[in-house]
This record gives sequence, C-alpha cells and structure tokens, in this order.
Amino acid sequence: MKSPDPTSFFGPPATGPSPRPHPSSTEPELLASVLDVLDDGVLVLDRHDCLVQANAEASSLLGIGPEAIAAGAWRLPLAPAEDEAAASRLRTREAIRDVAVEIDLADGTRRTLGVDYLPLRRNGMHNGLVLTLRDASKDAGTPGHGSLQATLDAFPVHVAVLDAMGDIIATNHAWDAFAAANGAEPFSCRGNYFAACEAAGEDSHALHARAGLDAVMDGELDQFTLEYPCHGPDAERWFVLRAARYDGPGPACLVVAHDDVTESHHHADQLRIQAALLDDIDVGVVTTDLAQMVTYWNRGAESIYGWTREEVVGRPVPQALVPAGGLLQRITDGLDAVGHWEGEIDVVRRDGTTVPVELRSRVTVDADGLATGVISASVDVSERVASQRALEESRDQARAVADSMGQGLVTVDVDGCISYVNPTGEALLGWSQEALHGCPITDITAGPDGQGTDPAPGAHALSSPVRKGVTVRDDDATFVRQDGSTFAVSYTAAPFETATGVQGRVVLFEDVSERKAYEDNLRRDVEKLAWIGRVQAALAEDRFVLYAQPIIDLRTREVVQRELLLRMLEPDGRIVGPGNFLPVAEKYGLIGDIDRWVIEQATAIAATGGRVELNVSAQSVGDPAILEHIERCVRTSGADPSLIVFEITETALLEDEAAARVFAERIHALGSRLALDDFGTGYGTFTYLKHLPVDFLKIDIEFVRDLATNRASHHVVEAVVALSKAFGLQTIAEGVEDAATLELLVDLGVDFAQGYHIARPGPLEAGLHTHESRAA
Amino acid sequence: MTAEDRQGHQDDQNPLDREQALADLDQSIADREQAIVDQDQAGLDHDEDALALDRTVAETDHPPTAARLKRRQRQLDQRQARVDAHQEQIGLAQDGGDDRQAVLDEQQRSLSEPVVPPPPVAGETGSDPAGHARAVAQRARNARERADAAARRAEAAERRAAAVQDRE
Repeated sequence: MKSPDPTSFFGPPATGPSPRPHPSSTEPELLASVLDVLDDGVLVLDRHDCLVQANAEASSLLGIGPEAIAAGAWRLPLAPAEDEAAASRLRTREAIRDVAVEIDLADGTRRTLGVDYLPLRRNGMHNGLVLTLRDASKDAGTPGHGSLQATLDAFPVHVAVLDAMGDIIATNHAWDAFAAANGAEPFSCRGNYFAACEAAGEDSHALHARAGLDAVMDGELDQFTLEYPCHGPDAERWFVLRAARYDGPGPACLVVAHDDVTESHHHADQLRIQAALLDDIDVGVVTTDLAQMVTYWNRGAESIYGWTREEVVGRPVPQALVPAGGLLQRITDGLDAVGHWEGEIDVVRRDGTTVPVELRSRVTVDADGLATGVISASVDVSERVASQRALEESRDQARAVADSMGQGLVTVDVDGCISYVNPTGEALLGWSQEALHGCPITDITAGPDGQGTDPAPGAHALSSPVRKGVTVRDDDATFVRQDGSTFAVSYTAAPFETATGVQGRVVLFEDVSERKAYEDNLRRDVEKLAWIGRVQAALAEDRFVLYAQPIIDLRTREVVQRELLLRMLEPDGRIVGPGNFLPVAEKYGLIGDIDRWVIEQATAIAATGGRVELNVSAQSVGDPAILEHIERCVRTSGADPSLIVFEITETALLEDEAAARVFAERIHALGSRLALDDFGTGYGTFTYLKHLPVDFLKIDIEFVRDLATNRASHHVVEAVVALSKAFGLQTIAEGVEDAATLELLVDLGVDFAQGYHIARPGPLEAGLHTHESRAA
Repeated sequence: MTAEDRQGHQDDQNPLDREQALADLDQSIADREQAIVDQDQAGLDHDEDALALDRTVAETDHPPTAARLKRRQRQLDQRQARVDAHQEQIGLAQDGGDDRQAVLDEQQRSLSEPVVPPPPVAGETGSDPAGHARAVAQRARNARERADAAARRAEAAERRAAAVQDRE
C-alpha cells in the first residue's frame, strides 16, 4: 500500500494552493462576488483606512448599506480601543487575530464581533487592511477561542475541528507544530480535511477515513477510529485517527484527533512476534496474575491441556490442572522460597486424560521487584516417559534374564570397568556386585599360567579396547576369586552397542575347571591310546632304533662302553624320544616287548664285539620270562655276555627288591654285569646294596650337573664314591656337561663318565667297536 | 695282635665301614636336601618380605587389590606348606640318621677299644682310622651347619608368625 503523505490528514500540501481565497485581487466585481460567498464578514480598507470593499456578511453584521460604503463615508469604527496591546499592534500594521470589538448598531443595539486584522502590503509598503468579522456570540460555541482553545492546546494529540463541509476551523498547537515540522505555513494547514482525504487517491486508509468521517458526520457512527501507517523516508510511524461528532453551537461539526502510536505499535508488534513465537513452539506457556487468573495461554498450552485461550484467559486456572495437595504445596514452597520451581508432574487434561509434563514455573516481577504473577512453561514429555518406561522394562527384562542365567555375566564400560555382575557371576567370583562395581575387569583375571600371576598391563584380551563388531572368545582363561584362588573359565566378550555407538562389552563366562580337567584327562587318554597304536605299529614294523652314547674311562679317557638309548622312527622319518612313548608302553604292557627287542639288538651288537649297556624296565625286572629271553638271545647270538651291562633303576629295584635280587643274580650267573641307574634319587636307604650284587653305580645327573657349584652335590658324589669303594663297586657319572665337572669327577675318584660334554647320543651306525673310539 | 686277630678285626671293620659309607651317603643326600629346603625357604622369606611391603603401600580397601594380595599370600602359604613338609621329612630322616650314626659310632668305639691299632693294609678298603677320623670331623661340621640352618629357620618361622598376627 502506498503510504499517504504525512500531512494529508492535516491539510493541503505545504507547497500547494490554499483553498481559502485571499483578497489579493483589486478587481472590484470579482472580489465582491468572491467575498460574498464567505461566511465571515470581510472589510477591505485602503492605506488610509477608508473602506473600499465590504461583503454582504460584513454589511449584515455592521448594519451599513452598500451606498454608505460606496460613498466612502464609513471609517474604521472597529478599533480595539479597550485593548491597548491590540491597538498598538494595529498601529504598527501587524496582523491581529480574534480581537473582540463591541460596536453600536444603527438600530441602537450593541454587538460584539470577533475581528481579524490582516495588513495588506505591496512592495513592502503598507497598502491597506482586511478585516474579517464574526459574530462573537456565535463564536462562543466554536473551538479555537478562549478556554476551549487553551484546552485543545493542552492535548498532546493533534486535534482539528471541522465544519460540516470538512473545512478545518480550528487546530491545536500539536497539530500546528506537526504541520510546521512537515513544511506547512502556520495557517495553510487550515484547509479542507475531506479534500485532503480525497487527494490521497486510492489510498485505502484515506478512503476508509473519508468514509468513516462521513459516517460520523451523518450520525451513523458516534465515533470512528482508524490506525494507519505514516511512513517517512527516515522512519516508519503509525497514527490512530479518532473522529467524533460535535453537536454544540457554532459551525463545528466534527472533532478529529491524530495520535502518534508508533511506539505502542512497535511494542504491540513485539508482543505479537513474541506471541507468535510462543505459539509456534511446542511449549505450553501460561501466565497468571497474583489472583491466579490466567493472563496468557499460548497455542502450546491449548495443545497440551485442551483448553483454548478464549476459555481460560481472564479466568482462574482450570481446577483439573491444579496439582494435588502435596505437590501443590511443594511448588508453592519453591516459588515462595527461590522464586522458581521445576519438575515433572502428571496433569489432567480437559478430556480427563493424564499427561506427564516437565513444568518450569517462575515468579514474574515488575520494575520495583514486586511479584506480578507466575509464568509457567510446560513440555509434554509423554513420549520421553513412554520411551524411558519401555527402556526400563527392557532393562528389567534383560536383568531378569541375566539373573536367572547359569553362566556368569559381567558388563564392562568403555573404560574397562565393571558395571554389573549377575548373581551367578557373584557366586563364581565370590564378590558382590557392589564390591566389583567400578573395578577394572583385569582385577578378576589371572595370568596365562593360571597360577595367579598378574598379567602384564594390556596383556589380557579383556583389557584391550572394545572394538565395534569384534567378539573375543577365550576357552582357556583364568579368573581370580575373592579368596585369591583361581579357576579356569571360558568366556565370550561381545561389544555392547547402541544407536550411539559402542558402550562397553558384555562378558559371559562359566567355570570350566571340572570340564577342563575332564577334557585334559580325556585328551591325555586319547593321546596315550594313540601312542599305544603307534608303539604297536612300531614294533610290528620294526621302527624302533637304537642310539648310543659313549661312556669313557676317566683314568684313560677312552670310550669303554656305550649306553644304548631307544628311539622310535615315525613313518614320516621323524625320530621320537623315549619320553613320549615309554610311559605309555609301561602302563599298557608294551614295555616287555620293547625290552625284548632291545635285548635282541644289544646281544646282536655284543656278538660283534661291542660293549653295550642297555636299560631294562622295572616291569621286565620282575618278569622271569625276560631272563629266559636274555639267556636265549645271548645263546643264539653267540655274544660274549661280559660285554653286556644291564641297567635297572633304583626305583625298579625298590619296587620289588626280591625280584631285583633274582634278576641280578641270574645276570651275574650269565656272565653279564649290572648297573644301578639314577643312583641317589630313590629317597631311601641304600642298605639293599649289601644284598644286591650290582657292579656299577650310575650317579644321577641331578648330582653331577651342579657339581662344580653346589657343595652339597659335591658331598653326595664324594659319598657315593666312598660307598662304591666300601662295596667294591665302580661309579659312572651321568650328565657331564662341561670340562670343570669332568675334572672334578676325576679328582673325586669316579671311574667312568658320560654326557654331552663327552659325546651326545648318536645313531648306532656310527660304530659299535668302542675300544677304537676316544672321547673328544 | 696275631694274624688271626688282625683278620678278625678286619672282618669286623669292613662291614662297619660299609655301614658308615651307607650312612655317609644318606647324610650327604640329606644335607643336600636340606640345602635345597634352605634355599626354598630363603626364596620364600624374600617373597614374604616383598608381599609385606606391597601390603603396606597397596590400597587394601580396593577389593580386587586385596584379593590379589590374598592370592599371593595363599600361594606363599602353599609353598611354605610344601617346604615345611619337606623339612619335616628331612628332619625325620635326620633323626633316624643321627640314631644310626650313634650306633655306628658306638660300634666303632668298641671296635677301636684294643690299644694296638691294626696296621694299615694296602689295597684294602674301609679300614683307615685316619679316614674314619676325618669322616667323624666332617659329620661334626655338617651337624653344626644343620644346627645353624635350623636356628635360621626357627627365626624365619617366628617372623612369619608375627606377620600373620599383624595381618589378622
């Protein structure tokens, strides 16, 4: 909409022509005709104050005829004789308005006229005077005079008084000042108001104003009000036009007032914006005054509570919304104490349903800090509450499942700290959940040896960072109980993921101690059984082989004997040591067959002239058939039995001393000799030596290995040597691994030695005729 | 002393020397076992001291830390029990050995009663009085060492008992 001219309602444009004609023409006839249409009386005087023109109204007011005027007989009778100030101004030819002058009429009566004196000038010189005359008795009812004018001037709003034609017949100072500020001459503003409205063209506000003024003028409306914009180049302003009809005496018909409402308009705009914002948000905003009457109720409140603003504004808060006694008291206490309260409450809506809301109430105060009411903001949290309840239900369900599980369950946060332990976990670990809460998961884990060794930091899989989608499983882990004991566990650790990412891990574990022991036994049994088959196969396929380790005479350092050591040749060519299969062979009755095979091989070697030592198992020592086998092999091979030394262990001897004695006696009877292996490790007395005809004592590697560094071992070897001398035996030191030990053995009087320092066991094909060999 | 007497003396001395050699071997092995036990005990004492130090600086209010300390104590107690059992076994064997040695010493003394000592016989074994004297001296030294070791163990046992009392 095009903004109307700021002055359009206050009069014609400042540069435009005045609608009121001034008597500037000297054309007598034209002037006379113009003057005659005026309502005021007009007198035109020359510079000598002689009357040269008078209109009909003036003639009427003064009671003089045209002939008297034409005769020049009338002189100014209207001097303000009693008004010295006016008289003085008149003498100096200044303009004077509204001077009350009393005149005597021809009929002998007196009349008070209101006179305006308007000097006429030409080329700056006094050229005459125009007087306008009004009947003061009629002016008494018109504005612009006396106390009424003063009253109007006191109004801050712009006021104009219009006559029936829309002519502005009076204005107040505010009107005049506004007009002057906008470039109009002081009197030019007194134009025709209606014409100004019409001059605004199609401006809707101007047209609306014109119609409104007509309606008031015609009595259709008592009053008319219109707010309209009045924007200038530098500022935007708004005014309110108010028009009221005047029915008093005089020409005044309409009083028009313009009030600058720019500031209140801006304020209202802001309020509207705020209200719109409050309406746009999903927050219920309600304000109440001190009497708890609702003063504001936004659209959000309508949506949450169900009451429209029309239903509640200006009324008390709906009773259904008032919280129950205890809660209300808490809210009231909070507001009284600290000026605000917030919390989640359930409120009853208009339809009777209940909705949970997050309520924040705050006391509002005025500029002086005095309470004016309460503003409350509420948010419907029903979705959040429902979601939270669903989450809690899910959690409770998960907890119930976890609590009833037969497996231990531990949840760990992203920092690796325990956040939950189910009852089974508590029972297995011996800890309460409270005790473990917040502790690192590594506090319940043990080292890989399962013996309680603390794992190195970061060494345990559970101490590694949780990675999305990566599940860790360990069937061979160890956890620590509250009492410090450990137990074997199998666990699965899976990341605990939510929509927002990995939150930690869930560790599901079970005590597998019994199962693990059972499995270990089973595995060992299976392995043993497998070895049974392998041993049987090796026997059947002749896949046992003999290695030989030289034994030297410590006096001559020459190899005088070789100990035969059993190995098994796997089908793939690998050589397997005796530790893998001899225990199985002994346990499952295969050792006898192996001993027989070794005896056959040893006697065959001896038959070629080789000196050999062979081991006989404890089981075979007690088997009479083995002796017959030995005798048969010696006999059939043609071997010299003196080249053969049979070794039995001290343990085998102690198992069945009587059988051992029989074995030894028959070996001696055969012509072979007997060595006591692992001597000194039997944890028993050696009195059997008094009855057992052994020839060699083989000093166990246990005493030989640290001979050079351990004085106790030195004493033992020393005692063995002394013993052997007392019993007329010879000694063989096993496990000689360095030269120092070898020399010590010589010094101690040991007879023979074998060990890695002398020679490692090697395949028998390296040579059987030991008397040719010499130790390195 | 006649040749028959000498032969009779020798016939008595040889079995005694054999018995003595058997007893010496038993004793040497027992001494070695004792050395092993002493070494184990020293290691245990060291670990006990380390644990006691850790206990003073650790946050024993922290349950898992307390559990770890308990676990270590439990392991040490188990080791101590094994050492104690080994020590008891050695002690019993030693008692038997001492009794046996006492008998042997008595036998040797009675055999040595004749004023005229038998002349040494070259090539014969177990009839050397000087060697026998050395063996006796050696046994005496060993006995002293065992006594010292027993005293150290007793002190360690007292210290452990005090530590246990402090913990409780």
